[in-house]
Amino acid sequence: MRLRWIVALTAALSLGLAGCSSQPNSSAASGDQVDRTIVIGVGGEPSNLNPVFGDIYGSVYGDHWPVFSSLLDYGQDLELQPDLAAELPEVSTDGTEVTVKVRDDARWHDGEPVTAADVAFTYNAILDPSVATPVRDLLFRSLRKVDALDAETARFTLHEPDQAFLAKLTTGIVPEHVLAGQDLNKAAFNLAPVGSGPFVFDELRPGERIVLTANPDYYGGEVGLERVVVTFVEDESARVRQLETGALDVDAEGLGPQTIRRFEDNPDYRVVRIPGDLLTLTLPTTNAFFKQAEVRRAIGKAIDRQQLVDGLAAGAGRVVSGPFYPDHWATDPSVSVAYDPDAARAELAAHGWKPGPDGVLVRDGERFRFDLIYGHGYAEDAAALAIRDALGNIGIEVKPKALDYAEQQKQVAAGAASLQGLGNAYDPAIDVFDTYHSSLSDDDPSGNVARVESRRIDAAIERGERSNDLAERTAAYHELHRLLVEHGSWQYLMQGDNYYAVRADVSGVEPQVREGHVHGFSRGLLWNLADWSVSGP
Amino acid sequence: MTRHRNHGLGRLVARRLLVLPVVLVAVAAMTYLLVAVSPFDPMSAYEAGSAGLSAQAKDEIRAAWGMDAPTYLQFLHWLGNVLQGDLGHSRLLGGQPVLPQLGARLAPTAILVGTALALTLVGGLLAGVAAAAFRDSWVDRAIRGLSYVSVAAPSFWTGLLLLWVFSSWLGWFPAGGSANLRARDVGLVDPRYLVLPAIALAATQFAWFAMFVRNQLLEVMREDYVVFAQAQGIGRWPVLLRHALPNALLPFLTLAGVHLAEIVGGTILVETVFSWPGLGQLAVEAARAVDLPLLVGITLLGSVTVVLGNLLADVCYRVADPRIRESTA
Repeated sequence: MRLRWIVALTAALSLGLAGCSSQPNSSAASGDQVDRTIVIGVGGEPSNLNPVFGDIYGSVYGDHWPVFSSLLDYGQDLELQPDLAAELPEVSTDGTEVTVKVRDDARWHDGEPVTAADVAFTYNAILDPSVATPVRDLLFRSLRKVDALDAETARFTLHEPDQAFLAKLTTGIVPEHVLAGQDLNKAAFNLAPVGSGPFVFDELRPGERIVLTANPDYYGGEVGLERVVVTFVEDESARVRQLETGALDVDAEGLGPQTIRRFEDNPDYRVVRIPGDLLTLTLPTTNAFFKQAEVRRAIGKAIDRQQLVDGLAAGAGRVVSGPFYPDHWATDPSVSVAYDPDAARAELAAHGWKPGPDGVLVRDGERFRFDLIYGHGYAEDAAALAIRDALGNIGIEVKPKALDYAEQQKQVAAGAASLQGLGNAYDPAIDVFDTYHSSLSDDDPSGNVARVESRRIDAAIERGERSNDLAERTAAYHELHRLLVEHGSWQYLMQGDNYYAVRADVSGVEPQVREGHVHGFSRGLLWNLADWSVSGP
Repeated sequence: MTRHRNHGLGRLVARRLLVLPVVLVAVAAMTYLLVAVSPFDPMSAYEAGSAGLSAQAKDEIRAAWGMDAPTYLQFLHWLGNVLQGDLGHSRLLGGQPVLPQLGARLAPTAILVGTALALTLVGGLLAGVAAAAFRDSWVDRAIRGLSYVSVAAPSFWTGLLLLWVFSSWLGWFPAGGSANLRARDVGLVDPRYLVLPAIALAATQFAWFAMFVRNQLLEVMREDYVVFAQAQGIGRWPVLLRHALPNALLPFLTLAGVHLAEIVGGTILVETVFSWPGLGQLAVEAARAVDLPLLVGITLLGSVTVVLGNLLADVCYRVADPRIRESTA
């Protein structure tokens, strides 16, 4: 009898819970409010939207949100083209002055005109040592100052000629009239920006989404999408679930080669494939095991690059041997590293490394055994294990060690072998000097981590950087490619692809070629977001 | 009597609130200390791929954020600012002041924790009473089994299971987030988005309460006055609910205070699994980026919650139990 009210209470409670759930799953949303809105999933919440502080992942290459525009931008084939600039900039004959005309029809989202003073303000802010931005060091060491000559003309003065300088003018321009006099490090603008790009910043819901709306006065023409919602979902499987339930339209973070299969045969989605980073094994010359070039090259020969492509990239990747993307003009297509484990064994034997009782190579009582440093991740684990197996095959014992970035940097600086995803789709001059030039091999652990010290490599780098002639630069970088293979401290192994899933009713998706990094908004998948549109609500 | 009781309670509250600042300063100092000995480097957030920063660039960035001083000086500087109501600026959040940013991000976590706590208490109570009432029957065995499983299962596993069944398979609930991403002018949270994460979070603590209530009830049922009541011919349910349960409930309140800390801590995993936009996820990010002002801010907020939660439990305890009331008076 009295049991009844407990049963009733329990029933009421569970009905209450069920009541919450009995509505249909309307994540595809209801009716009038949702037309021409697109929901894009990215991995992490950006820590700063101000392009002065770098791209949305805090890294390099002047990426910026579509809230902003930049002097120059990359087209679909990664050719530089004017954006806020009226035409391509003029470079003085000695290469130390770059003059840019700013177009006269661009306006900030608050209605003010965009002028050369804004351009000067932006780049001088980057150069200001009290502004905590890595971009100053990573991209603009060659830049001395920027002046606004008049409302439409800005002049960049360089310390020395910089072949890659124009490629660095893709940084988003910020409004002087909003930011002048403020401490940029702490400006409210950093999370509520005003730009001059195709989309207007509308709202940031912390931890969840950033909402942008179309800029009706965009100088670049009509914007196809009415609203763009960018949501932060770190976990890959969570993004997949949200795509499949219709909460997301686009995964812009990239899905693994195994994950992407579930979208490949589904007519509701389009799978976009963009060539990715180069898997790279670094063997620092400061490490006792890697002192001789012959030993480093033997290690390179022991790795079956095609097998890596088949195993790690599900067959959809490319074997590489040098630091530039396979179809880049700087890559010498005639250079390759043949898989030859017998030659590798012979070479190591010639250097005194003979198989011990357990098969591991021994010299003077020392076993050939080293740690392989790499970053956390499922794909990274698989790559490190593949290297371990390949080298184990010729008697080298490799111990893979997954570490956080800071600890990786420390160990690599101390001479540890490392496995990383690297690559540059742009002008080689952006980073080859920092990566291989002998002048950076001593004091500062940040550049030339493999401690390459070669006069011939230095000369090739300098020739490529100083020349204005594409044929001469091509020859210089082809030689650099050959010399690096000969040096053996950088073993470039394979290039996999980045995969993105987009719902099929989104049109205008035409990704940039050859943008390997997962980059935010002004590159790769989303570079032409202003041209996208959604066909159905 | 009433005056005495209020007096005792007032003293308890005053004492705890006086100790609170000391606790908070100690927690903040511990956080600074932990960060000082941790291998994480705040500069790593500024570096990308093989392109490292030069020593000069690192020095400039450290100086701009006051990270060039030794950790104990950074702490003293921070403490000085806190006395003026400034918890510092967060590098991770666009250099914005920590306090208003925490305020903006607090609501989703508070709602999640509150709902999970309510679910835990109500669910634990109902399950405990049912298990005691039907001791050794299938009901009891089922509740005990569920309790063991839920205690043993990590919350991210429970969360993924819930998502798989109720979102991917049945489609009853959304697959993460706190509100419809397409909707405009959304409120703080949408209740449909709250259900699964709240259940996953409650599941981590539910069993403690259910088993606790069950065991307390079974123990109290052996007490003389209960046996006496039963001997008078009063039925099973009135004895259980009117005589036994109120006595079993008292330690329950203390348990709630203690487990509040577990629930607050549990948000880190649950928020990550459900893409819930709260402080739990932010805490992880702050630790990774070594964003000290933000990390300390979140830690302090958690500490305040736990101290106040415990205080509330103690106050309820005293209000409910006349014996404790008088002993403090």
